[in-house]
Amino acid sequence: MQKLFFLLGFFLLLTSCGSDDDICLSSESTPRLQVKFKNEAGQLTKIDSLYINVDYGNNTLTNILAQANAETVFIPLRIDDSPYTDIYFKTAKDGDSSKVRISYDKNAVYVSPACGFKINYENLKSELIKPNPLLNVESNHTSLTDESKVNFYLRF
Amino acid sequence: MKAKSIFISAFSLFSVFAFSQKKSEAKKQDSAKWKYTPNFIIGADVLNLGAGFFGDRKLYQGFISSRINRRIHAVVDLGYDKNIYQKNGYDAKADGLFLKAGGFYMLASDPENAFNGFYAGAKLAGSFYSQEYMAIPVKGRNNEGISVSLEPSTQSSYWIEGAIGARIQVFESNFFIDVNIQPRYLAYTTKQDGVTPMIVPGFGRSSGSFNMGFSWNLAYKF
Repeated sequence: MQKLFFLLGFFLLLTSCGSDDDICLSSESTPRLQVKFKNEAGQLTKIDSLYINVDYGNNTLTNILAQANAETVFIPLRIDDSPYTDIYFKTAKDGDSSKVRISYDKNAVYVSPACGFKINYENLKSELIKPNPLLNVESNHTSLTDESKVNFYLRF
Repeated sequence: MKAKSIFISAFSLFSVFAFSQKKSEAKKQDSAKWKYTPNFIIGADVLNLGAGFFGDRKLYQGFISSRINRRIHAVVDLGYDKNIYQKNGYDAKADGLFLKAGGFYMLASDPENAFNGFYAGAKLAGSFYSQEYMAIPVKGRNNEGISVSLEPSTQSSYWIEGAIGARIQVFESNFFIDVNIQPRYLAYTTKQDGVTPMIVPGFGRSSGSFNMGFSWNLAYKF
């Protein structure tokens, strides 16, 4: 009889360890666009102050970054049906903003029960719709499946 | 949810009454040589049947068992389960039939009635079901409520389960109450587009491989 209860406790323990369907680590989520900055000479540089707003398709711009001495920034792209994401860059809070349209091909990749799907982006292309203060967008790595590689270099 | 809890609680109390009843008469001991004679106990899970009225899960299951040895009983379970999963951005439903086959060993039986006692056993189980995932969440920052849907499909899952329980005769009748818990391990499941099923009929929540089932059966001995 004692063995029976011991066995019961053991199985209950296993059961309680098994229910992890709530936890999704952010590293298993959709990867973000990685952007670095270059100066006129083509060397990596920092931006004194940088403001980034993104249009996620809900009629308002979402401010995702307001940073001094920006060296590397990560920008989450849209995961809905839109084939592009519009990103607005400013170097002063009340200054002009540049509009860059990043277009891509998406595919949904299944991750786990907790995380569901994530989006991988291929064929990343940039289009500088409104220059100033941003002058040039240089493409580097056109595939975005993790956050390890620089996708675009920006020159202000 | 509250009504369901009260319902389950009431059943637990019933079990206590059944276990505490006194035997009035001593019956004959089993003869030294045990010979198989056709004997069957057919049971239906009334707890989950009733709980179906209070929750989203409709689980109907029953079993047939036969004593094949002095202490060993063979048992086959058959059931139908219909369930939904709406959590963390998921919206899914599944329904289908499941079958379990195995045996159990009477650990401690009543000397007056060999069908009474505590038992432990194991079963192999399979479920054949149709599922539909209306929504599976897509995780991304600053993007909420985006999901992927899958076409309805037919899948199957297989698991092993233990059975630990007790079987008690109701007074002098041919009726028995059979209460058991079933710790389960999902061994194999077919997947649609690589997606791990969140619910498997007969198994329950399947995002983790381990699960626990409970049944409260009213059985009749032929």
